[in-house]
Amino acid sequence: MLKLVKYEWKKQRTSRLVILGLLAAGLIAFWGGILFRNDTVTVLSLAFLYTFAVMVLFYTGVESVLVFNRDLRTKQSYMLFMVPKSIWQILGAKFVSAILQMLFVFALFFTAGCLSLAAAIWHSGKIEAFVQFAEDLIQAFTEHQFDWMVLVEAAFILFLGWVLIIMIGFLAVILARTVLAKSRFAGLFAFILFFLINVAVEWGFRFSDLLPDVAGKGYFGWDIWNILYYIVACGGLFLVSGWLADRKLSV
Amino acid sequence: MILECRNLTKSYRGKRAVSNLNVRLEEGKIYGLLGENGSGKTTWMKMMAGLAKPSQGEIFYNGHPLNYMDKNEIAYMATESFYYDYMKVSDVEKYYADFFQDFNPQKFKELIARFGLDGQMKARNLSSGMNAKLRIAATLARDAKLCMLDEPLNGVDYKAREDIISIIVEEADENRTFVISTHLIEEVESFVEKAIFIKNGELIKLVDLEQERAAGGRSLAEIYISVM
Amino acid sequence: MEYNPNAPIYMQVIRELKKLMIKGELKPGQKMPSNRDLAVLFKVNQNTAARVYKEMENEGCCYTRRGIGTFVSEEEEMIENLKKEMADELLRNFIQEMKDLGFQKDDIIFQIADYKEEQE
Repeated sequence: MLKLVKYEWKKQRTSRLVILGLLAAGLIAFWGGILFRNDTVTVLSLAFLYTFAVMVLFYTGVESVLVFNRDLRTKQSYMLFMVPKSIWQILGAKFVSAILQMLFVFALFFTAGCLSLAAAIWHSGKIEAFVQFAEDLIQAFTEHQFDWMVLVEAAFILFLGWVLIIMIGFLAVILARTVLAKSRFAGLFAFILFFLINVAVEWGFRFSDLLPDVAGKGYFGWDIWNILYYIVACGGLFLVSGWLADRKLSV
Repeated sequence: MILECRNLTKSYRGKRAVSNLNVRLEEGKIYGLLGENGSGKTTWMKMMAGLAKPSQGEIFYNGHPLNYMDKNEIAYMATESFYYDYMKVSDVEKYYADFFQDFNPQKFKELIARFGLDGQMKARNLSSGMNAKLRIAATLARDAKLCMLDEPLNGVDYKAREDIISIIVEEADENRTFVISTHLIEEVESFVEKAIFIKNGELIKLVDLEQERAAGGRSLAEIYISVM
Repeated sequence: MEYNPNAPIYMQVIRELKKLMIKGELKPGQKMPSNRDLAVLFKVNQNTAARVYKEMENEGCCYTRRGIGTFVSEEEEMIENLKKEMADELLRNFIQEMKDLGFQKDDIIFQIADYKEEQE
């Protein structure tokens, strides 16, 4: 399966390069603005970087679904389905590659954030001020008993939500190319199905709220049943996707 | 017998592309798959290659229902280019080497050299004839037990055609089965052993050519005209 | 080579090989091409090639040494017999065709004696 992941990773290379290039351009503008004391450039580039970050996160979130849809739309699907790999390995590789791409984007923006911060500090010329700021921050966290688990929990819930979106996307694409394959508008159907399944899954979510509380709620009001529901939903969607593709998907 | 199709049917948009097909392929033979455009040849091959799923009926490979692991031994050459856009000829080689244990990189290099291809050429930019040569080289560089070539002689120049035929007869030994679809009947007449005639998705005739020539003295083209 | 599409291919290949033997291009005791090489040479499949050798072996034109290959027979009369056999076949067909045109054997002999070969 690693080899499949390798080729899925390569498919997303172009978008990585584009993100890297635009990010670098934004950062250079930001640094330039600071260096030449041009506030307009600094503010504009900062605004661009924020907007860009949000857009990239959205795009990266669904990129693997878009790539999968493109794979199935063209003869390039032969590349995936002529090799002696099971549908689970193929879908699994796409999923792993999506996670890697997400991590890459996070790492990239984290680095960019650090670089911007460094620029800002260099600009103010007062390292002391930054150290003071950092100390204040840590103090604030510790005094208010800042729980790092909150961050972990937030990340975990975000991750679950995102996985669910990917799984819904895979199923929507496969449905559009199997049971609805009679239509020429398979791509459009995939798009509509994506929202329909989403609504269905969210509708089911409230039933997990009806179950008795056993382990208390987290910071975000999620209890163990909510989390279990998401995990089961993701697993179920994956199984249905694979099962359907294995029996019906003709490329 | 290497492969058997039982009541194989495939419908697209309510229309039957392959209809109730019953065929047995014997090991070590070269089959010619003949029929008009749109008669279901490609759909049938794609089902045997595991790319398309039957609507009804079953395919047995070496006695068991066809599954994804059989793709280790089954090679299919499509009529169109299907390589990823970024791929160079050498990337295609790497891809096949990554996924197929029966792929022989040395043989691939020999074949592309014979066809005048270069590892650095981009698959996407090749002319259709050159792309066909690349697909043939990649497919035949595998030691696949069942090798299906969809229109391998289409759109390639005379010399390459002769080269392709030479490679096919060289590779097709008693352990390997070939299925070759083509409209160029005269080109394949001398080496195809059995001809499968398909019309409207149905098998209408399976002929052992040497037997036919010994008995009736009919050429492949004459049989084609009479059954189609 | 060009095949007659109405006659079994293996027989046409055998004929061709026999001609090569008569012409001396395949000499007694010489190793013949492998099945694979014969297939490529004559654009036939390897099963046909194997059949060609089997038939020729039965006729005594060649012999096979296991694991080494097929060789042209070294029997002295073999080439002469082949020559005679092929000549007989040609004659038989020729006479048949001529008879179909209404010629009797004497006429045919006379015509052959009278026939002037084209100058080379």
